[in-house]
Amino acid sequence: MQKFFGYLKKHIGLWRMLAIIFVIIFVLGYVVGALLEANSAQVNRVLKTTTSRVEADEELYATYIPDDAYVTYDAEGNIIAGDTEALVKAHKDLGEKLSEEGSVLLKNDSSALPFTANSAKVTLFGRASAPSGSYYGMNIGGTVESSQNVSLYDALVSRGVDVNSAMTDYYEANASKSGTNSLPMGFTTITTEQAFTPYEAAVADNVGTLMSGYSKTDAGDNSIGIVVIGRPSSEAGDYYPGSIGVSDSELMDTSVTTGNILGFTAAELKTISTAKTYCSKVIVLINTSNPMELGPIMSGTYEADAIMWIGFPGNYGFNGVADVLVGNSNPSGRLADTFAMDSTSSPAMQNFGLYKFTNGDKVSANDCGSYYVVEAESIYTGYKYYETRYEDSVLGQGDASDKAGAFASNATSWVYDDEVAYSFGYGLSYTTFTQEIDTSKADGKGYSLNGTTLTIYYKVTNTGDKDGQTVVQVYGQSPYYTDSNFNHGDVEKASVELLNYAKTPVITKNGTYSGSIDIDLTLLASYDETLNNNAGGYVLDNGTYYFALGNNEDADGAHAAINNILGVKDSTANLDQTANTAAVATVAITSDNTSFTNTASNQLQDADLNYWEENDPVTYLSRSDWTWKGGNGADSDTSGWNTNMWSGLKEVELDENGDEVKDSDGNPVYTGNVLADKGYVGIKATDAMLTQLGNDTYTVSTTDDTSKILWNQDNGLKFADMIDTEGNVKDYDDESWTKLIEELDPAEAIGFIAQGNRVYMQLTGPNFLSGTYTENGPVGLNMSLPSDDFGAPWYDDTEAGYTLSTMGCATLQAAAFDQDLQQEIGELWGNDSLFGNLPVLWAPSLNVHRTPYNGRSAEYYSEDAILSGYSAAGVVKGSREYGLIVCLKHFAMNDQESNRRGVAVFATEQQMRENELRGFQIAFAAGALGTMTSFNRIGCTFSSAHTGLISGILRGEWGYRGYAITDMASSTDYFTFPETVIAGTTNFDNTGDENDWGKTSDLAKAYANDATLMQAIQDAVHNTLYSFAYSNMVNYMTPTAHTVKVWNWWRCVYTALEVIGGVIAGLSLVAYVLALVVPVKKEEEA
Amino acid sequence: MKNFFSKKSWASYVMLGVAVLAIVALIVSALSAKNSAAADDLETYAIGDIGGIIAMDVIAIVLAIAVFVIDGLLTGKLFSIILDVARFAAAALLIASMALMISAMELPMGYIWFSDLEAGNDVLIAGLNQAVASWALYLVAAIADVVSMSKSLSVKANKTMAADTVA
Repeated sequence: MQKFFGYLKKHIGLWRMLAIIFVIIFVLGYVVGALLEANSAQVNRVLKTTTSRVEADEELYATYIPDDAYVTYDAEGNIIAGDTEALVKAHKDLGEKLSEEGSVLLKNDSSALPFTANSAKVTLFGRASAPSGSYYGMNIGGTVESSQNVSLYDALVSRGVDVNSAMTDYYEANASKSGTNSLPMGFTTITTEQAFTPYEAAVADNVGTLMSGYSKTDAGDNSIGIVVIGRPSSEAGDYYPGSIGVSDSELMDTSVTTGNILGFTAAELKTISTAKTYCSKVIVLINTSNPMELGPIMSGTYEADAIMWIGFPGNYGFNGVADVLVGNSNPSGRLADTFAMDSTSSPAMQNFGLYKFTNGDKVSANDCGSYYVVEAESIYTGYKYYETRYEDSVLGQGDASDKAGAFASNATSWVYDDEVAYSFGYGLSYTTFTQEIDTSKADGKGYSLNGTTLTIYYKVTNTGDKDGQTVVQVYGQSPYYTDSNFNHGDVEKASVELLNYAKTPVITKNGTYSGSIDIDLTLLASYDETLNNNAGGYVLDNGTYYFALGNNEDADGAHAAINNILGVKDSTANLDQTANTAAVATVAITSDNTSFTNTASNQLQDADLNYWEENDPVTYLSRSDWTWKGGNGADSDTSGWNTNMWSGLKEVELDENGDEVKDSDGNPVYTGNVLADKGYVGIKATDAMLTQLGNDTYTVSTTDDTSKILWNQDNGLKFADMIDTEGNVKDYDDESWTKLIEELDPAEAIGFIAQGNRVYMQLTGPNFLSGTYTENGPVGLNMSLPSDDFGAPWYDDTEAGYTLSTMGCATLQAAAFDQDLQQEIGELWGNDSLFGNLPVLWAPSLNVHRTPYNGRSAEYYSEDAILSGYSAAGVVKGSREYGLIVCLKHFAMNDQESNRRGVAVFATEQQMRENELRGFQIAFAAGALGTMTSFNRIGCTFSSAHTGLISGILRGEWGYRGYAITDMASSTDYFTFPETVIAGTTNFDNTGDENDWGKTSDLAKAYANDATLMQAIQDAVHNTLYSFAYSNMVNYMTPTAHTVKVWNWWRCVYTALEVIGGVIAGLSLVAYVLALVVPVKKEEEA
Repeated sequence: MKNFFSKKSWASYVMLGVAVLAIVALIVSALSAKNSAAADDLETYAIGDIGGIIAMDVIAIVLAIAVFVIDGLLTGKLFSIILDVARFAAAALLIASMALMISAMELPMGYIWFSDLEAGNDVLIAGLNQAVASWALYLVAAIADVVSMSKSLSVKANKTMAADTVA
């Protein structure tokens, strides 16, 4: 022993070092391990590992299975293998098809398109034409994997087109410039740096040389120039108009354009001019989601021979674009938004951007309640404004022709054709079609009315010389009375509203196609807050209704529809198109011949700023006065339109008393924020508003009798018992659900609700397994095909690592105007979810394009709620079959990214219900079982906590039962637990069950005697599990299923570090102590 | 004064270096905390533990300087043990500071390195970069401390120094 202790003493320095070294190793292992485990879902995705797998006595992965096209069966009919190659091919095919059907031909002079593939000499111009410069998807939110992209160049070459590689090489080398082409953005607020810095590559110095062989001198009429102009789209970012929206106004040529960033820059115009110089024909492709100002290329110096809007085509859409360009496919897309001559001309643009309450600093930063926006345009979003004002200008109503609100330069009056470049629903084909109401049906009427379903029969004739598809758009006009017959208070009515649409099959040249469309007349009902003694409700007025196909010899779309209607209403009207009166059905609708009953009542009155403030400060736009007298803070006899260019207001810093802070020279000190300078600026929040903006409005009771709300019961039920092997789910009101939920511990239930950021925790009693169940996004599942075998019989790693978010952007999807195509997309995503083992998708997004300046535009479908609703409905229907729960978002009114976190959105209930909510309503009616609420407030109340919106409308009027998660909670304090759960939201997009609210066990104690809250907690879990029961997670949630930990390599590494570190550190410390304290005779004697 | 410095072993000079590194790490951590908190209006990325990190860092600095001062000045087995404990504690505190700074950067790492959600947030990016720098400084300081631990300090002058070094 002496020898041993002597040895220890001799090496005491070694034990010291080893002890601290291995303590460090232990700590590193612990910290790294904790981080990895906390973010295991993301880590697994990046490192292609897995941390758990499910084992059970029952057969797994038997309830929801992929399409036959993606699996192989044995002789007994069991799936033995999957085919991810076929799945990938399906992505490519559908992506191509989407662009074929969704690209919108806007102009095509001199038959510039299609060009002949094997004779054309094509040069691509513009940085966005380069493989790395094009916009395939969004920057954030709906991104696509760049390595999977097929460029325009490659797509054209694959179609046999001779493309000028030298010019493409030039643009590829100059495709980007640091610090440019990025949206001003911020995750929480957008404050400074709101200017966008556009970048377009300069024209090559040696352009003549680069054009050798491809110029009109060399190739004659075969010389084709394709200029691609693009603008990005992104989550957390907005564009801004006017001088604050561009970093350097010198970049814009205001002699030709408005100067707004959604117009062409000087460099872009130069590029187009160069293409015109060298090429016989010039085609401009608009590679954006946001509507751009196209006036300069429609006529004049920079006129293009052809213009086509292509949206963001996704990974494979340029294949479809190429097919359209060379004539392999006949374009059939229609615009999902109005393209105005001046992108700031809509009334919504009078109130867009950053508005701060003058006493906004009284709201704490964490409450996120300092900013607001007043949507004072009423229902007149997009084409509803332009087309309604057009009708009134034709009929001489409401001062529609007044100069007020006219943005055309030198305007002396408002003229539709000066304000609008291309209407909603517009689009050309390589052939021509006529559409008419098919009066050979329904006893010569061409329509039949059954309750509130109107069936319109139509006939389409291909009058051109090419086969092609077209879109049948049905618009409706309800009676609007300008005299005293009209008894509905302030109810506004648009002159024309899209009600439904259909894509025809390919019709051969000179052929016809007959079909029918069902119209849900409730979509045409107006919302009247004053109905039934101010109880509110929908009304379908008695009177004459017009249902028009959006087609005449001049155009397709909303403008064609209103002209057709006007041609019927007044044959002498001075119209700007030739009315197609054969495309109009005139229907007398009364309470005698419909079964319409009001099922709604006021739920959103507090969304109106006039509700809070005295003297009704907001004058909403009305078609009774298009000059908008008193609007936007103007005097009651002065027009509220502000047609000046934006310049922005610098936000002044305020002290704690709300007084301006001044510098030593007495000048105001600015915060760096730039606020909007038009519209309803300078609103001061009342005390009541401040209280509501402070969020904590619910007082938790401590005295309720909660004995009837049971917990921790041993009822012997499992989550799997709620579903049979065919996927049939017990009815929502079945008592079994109550008994299942009663098995939970309240702290467990609170934790389940609180934690919903992709990973969901285990529920012990019900045997609901923990796992990663959700992901974004709008162009497909934002994940890669897994490389870890999760046990499904169709698992196939051939295409492991393939990123599934490949589709073209939502606006492109809407522009296809094809509900069947949307369903195909839903089916593909449903199959993806089975191969990716992910049952819940936080998509699609249905917020309307309220303005052209929403930076997140590409994630949303359209300015029109009906088009948005039916587009999303297709995805819902397609995905349900495969057990994919899609979550409609963001519910509701997330119409700008600026201050999306907490911005108070003020609007009328009519506007909300008839615009954005109507789209959601259609999609929920299609069977959606998930939703994500929005960051913003409805009025002064956080949307997720707004009882009227969630409980009243969503769950009450619409009968929705299911999962409703907040947007990302992070550490934001305005996501208050009691208010949100009581309102009917079921989960928080948050990580970890402990957050700013405190420990779940403490919350359970605090809420134990609040009956309302405890019941709401049980209802929240019920709703979530009910939705999840319809998802393909039931493939592995069998009665005996349990999760087994998988020891992947990083788990082994950090555990080894902990174990080895701990052991050796411990032993070394012991050795050190022994070396110190144990006397060794030899040393002491020395 | 000359005597003061001449009695010091190389290991205590290393500890002086540890103190310098820890001071720099403290400054960089504070800068990171300032930028992280300023990255947005809501202070979403504020480092809640910065107070604790600074406190531990300061204690580590004090310990390291104390080791340097005491070495050679006060000798004997007791002081040797005290200096061992001080060096051990300093290293542990530096590593703990590093660990807390790593944990504090969990969100920024995710948003900046593994997504584009804060790609344009230069202030947050600066905060993360500074945090990374602080991790490196803490780690290097801790490693230097470990190296110093190979040598016993403040034993009786010259007698057992050779025997106490790592074999």
